[in-house]
Amino acid sequence: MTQFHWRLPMHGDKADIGNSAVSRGNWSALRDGNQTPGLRHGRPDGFSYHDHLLEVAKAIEIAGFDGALIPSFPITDDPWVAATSIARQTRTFRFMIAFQPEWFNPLYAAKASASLQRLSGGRLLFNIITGGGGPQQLWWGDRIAHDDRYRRTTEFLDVFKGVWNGGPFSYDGKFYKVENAGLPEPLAGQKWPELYFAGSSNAALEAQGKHADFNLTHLEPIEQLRVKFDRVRELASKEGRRVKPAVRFNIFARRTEEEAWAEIRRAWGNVDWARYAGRFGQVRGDAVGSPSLSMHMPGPDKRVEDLKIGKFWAGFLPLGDPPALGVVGSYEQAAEAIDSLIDIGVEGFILAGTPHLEEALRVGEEVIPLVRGTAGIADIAAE
Amino acid sequence: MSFEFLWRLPVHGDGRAFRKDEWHRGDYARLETSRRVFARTGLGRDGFTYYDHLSQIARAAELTGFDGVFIPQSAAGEEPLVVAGALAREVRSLKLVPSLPAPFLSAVYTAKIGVSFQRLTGGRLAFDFVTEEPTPNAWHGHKWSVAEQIARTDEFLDVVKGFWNNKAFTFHGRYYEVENGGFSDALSGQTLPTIYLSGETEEALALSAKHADVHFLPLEPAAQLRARIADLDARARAHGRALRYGLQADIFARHSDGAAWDYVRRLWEEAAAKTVSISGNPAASLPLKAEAFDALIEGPNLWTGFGHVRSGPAAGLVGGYADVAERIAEYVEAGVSSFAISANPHLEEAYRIGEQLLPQVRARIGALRAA
Ligand SMILES: Cc1cc2nc3c(=O)[nH]c(=O)nc-3n(C[C@H](O)[C@H](O)[C@H](O)COP(=O)(O)O)c2cc1C
Repeated sequence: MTQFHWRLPMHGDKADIGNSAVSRGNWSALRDGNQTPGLRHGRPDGFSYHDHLLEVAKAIEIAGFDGALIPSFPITDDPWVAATSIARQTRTFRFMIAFQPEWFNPLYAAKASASLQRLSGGRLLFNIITGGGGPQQLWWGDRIAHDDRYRRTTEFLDVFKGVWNGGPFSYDGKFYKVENAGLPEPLAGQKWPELYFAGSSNAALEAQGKHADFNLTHLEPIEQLRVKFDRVRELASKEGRRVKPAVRFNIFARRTEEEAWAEIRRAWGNVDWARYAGRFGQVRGDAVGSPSLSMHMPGPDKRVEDLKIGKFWAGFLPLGDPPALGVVGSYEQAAEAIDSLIDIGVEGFILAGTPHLEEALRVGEEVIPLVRGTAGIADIAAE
Repeated sequence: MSFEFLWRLPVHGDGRAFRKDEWHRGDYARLETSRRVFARTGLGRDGFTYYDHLSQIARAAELTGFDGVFIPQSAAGEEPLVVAGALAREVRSLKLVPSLPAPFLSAVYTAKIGVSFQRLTGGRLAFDFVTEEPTPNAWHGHKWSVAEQIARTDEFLDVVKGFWNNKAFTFHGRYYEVENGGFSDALSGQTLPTIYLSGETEEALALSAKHADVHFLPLEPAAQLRARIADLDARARAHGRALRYGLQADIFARHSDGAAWDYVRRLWEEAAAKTVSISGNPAASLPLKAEAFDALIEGPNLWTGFGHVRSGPAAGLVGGYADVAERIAEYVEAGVSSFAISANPHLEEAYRIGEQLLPQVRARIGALRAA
């Protein structure tokens, strides 16, 4: 059954897609109108950004999504901290923790994951990321080069899987060596946390063939995606496995097409081009497969109309929200765009929209029920 | 000097008996009885998970006046970091002290987790870092010596602190490397979590002198601890630092000395009636002898039999409320200010200790100060 996830805005959020300032969370100066923290009688009101994340998680849950991706970057709050706290305060919400294998030893990761499964009744999944190299990788304390990082990811998952149901499991790899390991009871044998897996390079796709449940890709033009998914399928079948395609993008949908574009034009007029250049201007590192970042960085000379690519729109970066390609239109058009992806085999969606709380409810209520290609979430909505 | 009481959470099940295989709270034991088990994570028949029970215990500790919860690392128990996150928003004021194995973690990532926890809890996180004796059958399949674990923890803490306190932090060590690290923007300006460490080896003492805020001492009569404290004070001074000291202990306190000892003796005899095997503790797999009980009394109200019947601290305090309060006051006088204590069953005992023992302890410490 197709999975529909939303995304937690771990880097703060804007109250309106047409604003340039982040006013939810303390990623910019505290002003009246900000929240978590906000100002009350001129003083910080004592709330933290987690209070907002919790609200968003509950909105996502009520809107009928399976759960949400929890991204992890140097400037964000931490997904383990968010997930463990949110687990106690939601019922069905599944948390997809973005995770680089360098962050925990695989044994510790297995134990913490098993414990989180027990805490949440099996609601954990992962987005396994291998990192984009460059200064950010060194910030994290990791200087392993691109292809070796994927080798480490593969070894990490070999060990993580090897000990999940108990032991004894021994392994003699380049990065990990363990002897007679295995999760002890009652941690052993918890529900397996499905693995989404990001990365488009050859090294990434090979690693996915062995371990991924989903290949997670930023939205690209349909023909490009079709080629990539064929390759994913081919490499996975060499391993005798099936890896399901999944796509991440933003949706900006309104009652009518005109309404949606009018809003986008308003937002385009408010873009802070200097800030945008600072944030996405230089993409350094060794990542191979982020065409949406490197190819679609429109400047102020572009008009909104210039950026249409088939059913998609390539202007989301200046609005502050990667990936570049996403969907703008009426509720029906947004549902059709989703269907066109289901038609080429996509089985997992990670959607988002700004502001995340309000748009989760809108997309969950107005768009997903119109998607033909799936019985899943529409059924839940009809119950 | 301020002092604090932390309640140690039972992360691998709980029950009235000494022996884990008779515990009915949680699904951590292979039960030999057919009695009903509650809060069984995963089976869900009653809809409760063991985390509901942990949450209940933490709230009890908060309501009865504890300052925090200590979340021990244990092989077959819930992971302390996950427990701390689960409890973060369920208790309002309690300090959360998860116990972590530094060599298994990225130092930068742990610092990041720390920052995010401080943001989530309003600065209530502290870190306890542990090492363990290598054993051939350790579940994690690693055989690092204690000295190596300490060497890794040392660098780990250099990185955590450097990263936390600097804007452009660079470090090239044996185990960790960082370039241009440091928190910016929304993540900057949080309070570094208090660092708890323990251990009696030369390496452990050196590590504490350099990095600990609080060092856990072994539970011995107060007179013996004075020498350890003087030694560690001197070592810390060499780094221009001052340490605080802590104890971890089981406390079985009752309205009278006799009632407490009778109770513990009965639990011991019940445990001794069966063969015991406790992973990771060689002493514990010896057959228990009912008559060995008295030989394990090592001082007034100080009994060292706990390590023979389960994992966790070996020694504990047994006695009437007044006597145990007196012992604790002696420790405070000797320089101890953190007490991570427990007794099973943890929910009921949190109430007992919070309501009946701690007020007496506070009264005595108040009197000491006044004197
Ligand atoms: C959908 C998606 C989500 C990602 N999320 C994160 C993230 O949360 N944190 C992070 O550091 N990198 C993230 N990345 C980047 C990956 O770590 C990696 O740099 C990227 O996939 C490039 O891999 P490649 O060189 O194999 O193509 C994400 C990538 C994708 C496609």
